[in-house]
Amino acid sequence: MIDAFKGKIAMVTGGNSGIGYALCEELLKRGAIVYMAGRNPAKVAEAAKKLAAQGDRIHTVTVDVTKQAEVQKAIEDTVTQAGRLDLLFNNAGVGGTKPFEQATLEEWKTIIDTNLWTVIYGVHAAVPIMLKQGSGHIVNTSSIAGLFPPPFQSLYAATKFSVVGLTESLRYEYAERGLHFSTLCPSNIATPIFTKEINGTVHNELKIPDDAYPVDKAASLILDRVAEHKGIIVVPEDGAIEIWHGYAVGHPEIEKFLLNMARDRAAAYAKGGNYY
Amino acid sequence: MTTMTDAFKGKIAMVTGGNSGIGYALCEELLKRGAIVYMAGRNPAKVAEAAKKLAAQGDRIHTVTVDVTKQAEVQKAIEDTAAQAGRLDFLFNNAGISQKNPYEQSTLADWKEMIDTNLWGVIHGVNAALPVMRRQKGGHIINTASVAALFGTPYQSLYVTTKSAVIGLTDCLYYEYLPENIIFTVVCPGDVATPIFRGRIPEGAVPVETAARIILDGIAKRDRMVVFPDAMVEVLEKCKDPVFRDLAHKNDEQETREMFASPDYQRFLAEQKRR
Repeated sequence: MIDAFKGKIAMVTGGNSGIGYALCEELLKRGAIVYMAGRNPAKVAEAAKKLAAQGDRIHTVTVDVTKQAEVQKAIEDTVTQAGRLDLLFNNAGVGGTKPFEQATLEEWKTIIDTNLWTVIYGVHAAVPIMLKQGSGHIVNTSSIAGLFPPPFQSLYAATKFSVVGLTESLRYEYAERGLHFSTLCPSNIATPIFTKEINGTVHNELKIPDDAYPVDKAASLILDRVAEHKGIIVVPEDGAIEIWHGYAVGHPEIEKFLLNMARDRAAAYAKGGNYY
Repeated sequence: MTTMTDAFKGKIAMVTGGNSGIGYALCEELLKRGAIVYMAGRNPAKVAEAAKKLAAQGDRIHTVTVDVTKQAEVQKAIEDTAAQAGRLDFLFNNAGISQKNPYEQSTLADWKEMIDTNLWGVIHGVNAALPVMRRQKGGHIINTASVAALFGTPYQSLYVTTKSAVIGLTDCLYYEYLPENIIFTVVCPGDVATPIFRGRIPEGAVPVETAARIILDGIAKRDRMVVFPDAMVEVLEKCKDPVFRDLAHKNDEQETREMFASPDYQRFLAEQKRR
């Protein structure tokens, strides 16, 4: 399994922070050649520098994944330079937790552009290349909010459900032509996503939950599952999986759980302006 | 106690994409159950013609011209309806388009059309209706998704993407607004005999009138999700087992490829492109 990534060309969008950064680090450890992609060149350079100790297998790419032409160019340039593209992690994304009635249509547009269109652009550019190669693996980041519907996260869940649907559909469609697709569904991972609004505003007063799973452990688990070509990768592999399955078949206990979650979140929001 | 049949009596219901397919059947069944129906569609001539066919059901049918991809039009249609009728009890965000072809044949323009209609259409509807329903302290919003989105159906990736979004969105809102007495239901039809198949109606498809009855019965019970036909519910449960799921798709694969290769289907695709 460790060898699955050795010498492989991997591109990671949103690679300079959070899960993306941890994936870059773990990919390097496992011998891959990594193209860390991000919007802000200074931040990407800084993040890549921190990983330079892992060897000279790290490269940087500046790309705003919400812009189709930039994504197309970034992927094509990477393939020209590296000779191929084995793994694409469409990982850039934004969180979003608020009551539906407070969300503006502008926020809807931002979250659909950032969480859905970015994945479409990545897939659209990479699939023809991977078909030509006869192989490749695309890993799209969704969330456990793409598997069951957490109340007060309707914007986020709409986009994350869509990523699960897209990736699963393509997984079956290309299964016999050498292409692999996985959906990454992180639950509670210790990353800055907890402190950001849909529009990117950072709130330092918002905390990463104390019980959040360490991001380096998450990256290691994710790559183990990617190596197995697993379709839906839930990290950590804990109660979230049970909630997902229970929701899918309408288990009464899970219905109760989600209703309680709605009530608790409404109360927390009324009191402190956030949900945890 | 309210019985299922009078859950709709005297209620104001708006149905987008109401002039054909499941939408039309919903309008008809709503009329039968005593509702006041606002049939909404993009093409005024087609809507008028469809509404005329239902005029025998009484004078409880009205028509609305609206393109659900346009936020301002949806806003106006819903506000005008609420103003005219005094309230809005049921909104069926039903308008949608389908897709079935190999992914490589899809363009970014196809993606945009699919997302604008199937996802933004629903967002626009919820966004406009929710303030009305919160004001009147009650209401029911019904969004149409598809069983295709319940288990990653291949060769329908654009459609599945948008319909999955509708499931996630609607179910979040179900839990979120239940305490405010605003009910959300997501409808996941399996194969229904509608024009979406363009004459290639699959075996085992449910007649559209039956579909409308099943949907309204589910809504009357305030179900979070309505999935049909029953065989689909069974498949859905089994699909939680990844082994079954992979096998089911593998069996379909050969059949689907043969279908795509047929001259018939190629002609259908060419027609669709010209639309």
